[in-house]
Amino acid sequence: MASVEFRNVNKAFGTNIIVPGLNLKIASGEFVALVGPSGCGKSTCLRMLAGLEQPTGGRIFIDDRDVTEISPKNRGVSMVFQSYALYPHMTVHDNLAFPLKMAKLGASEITERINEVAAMLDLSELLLRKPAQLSGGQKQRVAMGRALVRKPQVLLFDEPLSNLDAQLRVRVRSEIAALHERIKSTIVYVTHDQVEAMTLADRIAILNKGSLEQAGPPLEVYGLPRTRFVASFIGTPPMNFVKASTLHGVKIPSGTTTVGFRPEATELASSGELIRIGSGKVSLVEPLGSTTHIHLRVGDDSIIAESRGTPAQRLGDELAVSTQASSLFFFDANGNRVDAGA
Amino acid sequence: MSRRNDLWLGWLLLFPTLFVLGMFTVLPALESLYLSLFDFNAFMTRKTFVGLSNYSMLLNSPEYWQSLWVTFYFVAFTAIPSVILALFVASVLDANPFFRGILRTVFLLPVAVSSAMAAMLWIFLYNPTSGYLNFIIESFGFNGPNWLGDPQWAIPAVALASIWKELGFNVIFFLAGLASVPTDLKEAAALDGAGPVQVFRHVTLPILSPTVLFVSVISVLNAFQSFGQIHILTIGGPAGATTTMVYNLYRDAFQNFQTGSASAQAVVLFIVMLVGTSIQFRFARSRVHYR
Ligand SMILES: Nc1ncnc2c1ncn2[C@@H]1O[C@H](COP(=O)(O)OP(=O)(O)OP(=O)(O)O)[C@@H](O)[C@H]1O
Ligand SMILES: [Mg+2]
Repeated sequence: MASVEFRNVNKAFGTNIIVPGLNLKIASGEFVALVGPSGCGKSTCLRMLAGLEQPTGGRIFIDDRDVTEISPKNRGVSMVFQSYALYPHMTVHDNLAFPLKMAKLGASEITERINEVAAMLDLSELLLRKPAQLSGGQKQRVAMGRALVRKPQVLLFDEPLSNLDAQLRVRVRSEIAALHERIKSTIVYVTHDQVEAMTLADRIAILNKGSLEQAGPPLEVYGLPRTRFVASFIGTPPMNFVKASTLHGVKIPSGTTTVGFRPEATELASSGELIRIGSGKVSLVEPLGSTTHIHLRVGDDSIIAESRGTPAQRLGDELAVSTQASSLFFFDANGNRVDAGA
Repeated sequence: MSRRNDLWLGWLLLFPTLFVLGMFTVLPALESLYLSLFDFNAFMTRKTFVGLSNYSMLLNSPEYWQSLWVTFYFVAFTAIPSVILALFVASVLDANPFFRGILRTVFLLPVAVSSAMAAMLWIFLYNPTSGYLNFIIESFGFNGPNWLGDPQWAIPAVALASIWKELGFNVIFFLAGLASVPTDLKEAAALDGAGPVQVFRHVTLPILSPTVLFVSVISVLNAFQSFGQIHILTIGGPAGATTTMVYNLYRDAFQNFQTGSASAQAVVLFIVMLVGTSIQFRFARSRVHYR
């Protein structure tokens, strides 16, 4: 277990500035999910922490030790790669033993640690197989095992579940949650799957073009997004936005240019207590079983409403769109959220 | 399309390859085998069946045995260093993308030069009195050897010229192989605590092993069949020091016109190369990791 700190870390590839300046503190034992759109620099940040990529500027600390110039093997970090990166010519056993051999542990300790990890991740049956003889889920577990045998201070995951099918993803997700409960090491977990981030992490850090938009507990970033970007990024389907000028009958804080409300707070009716957004034609109906996403065009904006069950609305229906006053989020011209009371 | 038509099409498509292979490889090989059982007069106008006596003559000829040892010596001096050196050069180039583009071409240039020209170049370099090599050695206060004229030095000298000529070819194969070693495996190994040398030994080399086997087999076969350099640099001398099996064969076939014996030598050479290659494959079986 160890704390991690990015202090003003920046990274450029040539003239291309990928990370302009990252400040992020991660407490010892914390599980932080790093999320953001593709290409925003998540992997780059993780790789800088691992030592696989050298920052252009700034410092990185692990447990108050400046590791910026330290080689990957001396940082006490392990990483689970998206591709798993299992050594194809070694058996599962040898894959697990490799970090221990490099650390020059004795044979009996190596055996002990491998058995421990194999039992924890249910790998005992697979020890003599080569990676090519494993299923995707099994490879994933071996990759986790290899990262764990060394008892790293910080465990890094780069989209570890993205190559698994939906069902397996759910199962491995719960295994990772149980694992963190058990080993309690600090985890930095890159994903662009919101559900993974929301369900696994103690804290979610949202990156946009290499800058930290917000870092906070899952329900906080969902309930109190600091910026319009966070509001649109966290939550599926994403938050609806309309121009503040289209709204009437509600007190809009000064400086507000855009108003947002979540699809799940969108009502396809109008009544006295609700704030009316406008009306529009249904352009798409997506039934998902337990819920249905109804896409509408209201003026220039496209709005998604989430309804329970399978509602009666049909393509082309003209519907009123409204929401609760308390469900509104206000954003200024810079995309920052403005408090309703302001 | 019916099965029958498929079969016809298959044979039709294979025909050009089979024809060329048959005409220029299989038939001549069988012809050698056949000719090796005969004795010819000097003008090749009459032949008499002699059974295996061409072979027994070879086995009883000390010169032939010497050519066998010279061949092994030459193969070892050429193939082993050229594979190791090429692997080293390719690894260094692979790690330095900046130089890779230019130096790849530099190393490949000798391959593009004709053997005769390359050999002439080395004759100048090796000249004991006016050659550049001895000039350098003497500038350090040593006496340079008579490279091509000294039986002790002739094989290493011809081998060096061959290595220089072939190196770029092997480097290209190794560079292609190295490019296919996934970066994340090397990174995973670095995170697992391996230093650069251990990454190479435990990850890169095993993944590269099919390429190493391929390049080794090709290099050994090439060395066995070396002719151009020897012919121009030493003409098999001094005192037979560089008369390899191939050179001996050439001399018997085209200078001494002993067609029967030369054919038998071709068959023996084929068997020796076959054995050599299968030893390599056998050695590789447990060490090469195919993906
Ligand atoms: N070695 C490199 N050289 C040049 N540019 C790079 C390099 N590595 C990454 N980049 C660029 O840096 C940016 C961030 O890449 P990064 O891999 O960190 O994104 P990411 O957030 O992990 O995206 P994804 O979700 O698609 O994995 C991208 O624009 C990418 O093209
Ligand atoms: Mg990535």
